[in-house]
Amino acid sequence: MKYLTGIKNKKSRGVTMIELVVVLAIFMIMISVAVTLFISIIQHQRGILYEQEFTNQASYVTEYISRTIRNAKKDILGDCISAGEIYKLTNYDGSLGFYSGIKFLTETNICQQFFMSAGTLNEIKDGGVQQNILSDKFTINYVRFIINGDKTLERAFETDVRQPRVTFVLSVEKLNQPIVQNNLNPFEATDVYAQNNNGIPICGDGICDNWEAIYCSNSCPLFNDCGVCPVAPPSGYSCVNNMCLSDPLGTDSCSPNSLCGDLPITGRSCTNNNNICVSSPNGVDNCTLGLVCGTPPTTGSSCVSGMCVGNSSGINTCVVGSICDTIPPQVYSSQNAIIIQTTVSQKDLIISPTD
Amino acid sequence: MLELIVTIAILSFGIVAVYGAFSPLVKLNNSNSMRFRAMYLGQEGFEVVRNIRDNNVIGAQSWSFLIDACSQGCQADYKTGTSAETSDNQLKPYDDNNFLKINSDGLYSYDAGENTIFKRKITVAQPMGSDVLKINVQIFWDYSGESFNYETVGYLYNWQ
Repeated sequence: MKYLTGIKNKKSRGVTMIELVVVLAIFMIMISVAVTLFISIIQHQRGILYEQEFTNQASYVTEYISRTIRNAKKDILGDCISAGEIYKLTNYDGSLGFYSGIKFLTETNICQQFFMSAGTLNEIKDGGVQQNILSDKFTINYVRFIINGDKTLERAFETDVRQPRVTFVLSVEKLNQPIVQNNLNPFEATDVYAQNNNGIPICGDGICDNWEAIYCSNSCPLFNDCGVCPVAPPSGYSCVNNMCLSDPLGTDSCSPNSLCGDLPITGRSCTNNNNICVSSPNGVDNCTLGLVCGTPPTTGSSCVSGMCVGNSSGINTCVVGSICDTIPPQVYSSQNAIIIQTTVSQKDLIISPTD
Repeated sequence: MLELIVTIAILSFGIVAVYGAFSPLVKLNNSNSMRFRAMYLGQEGFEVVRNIRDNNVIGAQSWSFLIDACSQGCQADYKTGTSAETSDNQLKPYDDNNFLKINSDGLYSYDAGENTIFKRKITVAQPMGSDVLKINVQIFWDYSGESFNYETVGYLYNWQ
């Protein structure tokens, strides 16, 4: 009987609170690890799909451009470019000193032009409609054409007595390290939108993120995935998705469902929880919650808060400790970008070997 | 406690297995991306040699002038043999320690700049007489502790 009672007591013992807590804690840890891993996998998967698609498209584009350039011929009549020219570079960027386009007569007598415009790679045949030849979902850093290794050369002539050589380079930003756009609006870490590991929102990824819909052309002027930009709520209206269009001073961020009001002016405390000051007629700069808003650094001053008041183009970001200049140049690294480069030598000798 | 350990072990195996299966995919994808770039760098190497050959013909030089000295391997970039060439870009013997760099113009070259992972070796041989050159371009790179290479071969002929 004692034996049977012992068994009964043992069966109905249940679990203690400590056991339950320990089990729950361990499961929480396991679930956390699993979720973290799966999030990591999903992020990597996006990168993989992006690079695969880019590889497919870039392969086609590079082959297409290379083959067409290789088979170019001299424009004898000057109908496409000037008479006697073989290649003419176009779309010169004076600030960078590069040509991002090339024009020539093809072997089938088509006047063809490849060029980068508004962040996309395009072609025009015989003066027709401009066509995009690389999906605009890819953030193109730059496209450059160089004749005979000399970036200052604009044309290749037959009289150069040198077989023309065209170098073509295409740089596309990696998905997980998107291009740093000028004039980015401030955004909050709590906003719900696609962002990379550095917390930087992703433009041009083919997904109409919530933040893109709201910030729209201000943040992703070239690569917005949402099409038509909605209008931000005016001052005094409810804050929708952390965005207010507050007053003539400009655009500010706000807390969800709060009313959009005026921002603290220069000299006032930074109180709106959004690290935004309206500092001076020069515009808006960042501030730390609770600190007094000062005048933002102007061009030539040190960057102290990640923001510069640059020039007529508006507000731009800067690296803390650097000097604010006009809009800081975009710095590209082989680590952040996929750079494809190839060189093509024109197919036919410009002078017959028997001449 | 035993049940708990078994459960955790099974869960751990599951998680590790999923991650372990995915990790090679990421690595392979990165490798493919690099191979893609290497392919065009290889093509560029061949085109540079072809352009030098053409300019030799135009300039009434021996058609294989300079490039026939590359039997042990050479290095060249998009400026080699042009008026923009500097001492860095000259056709010179291949140096295994010399990586292609991204120069200040954002192009792969041997100018001063940030090293890339790629090295390019151009080897020229004459397997079928003096009127044919066999051009072998090899691109080498290391990634994640492994060495990779891409090789392309083409032939150039004497037009003279």
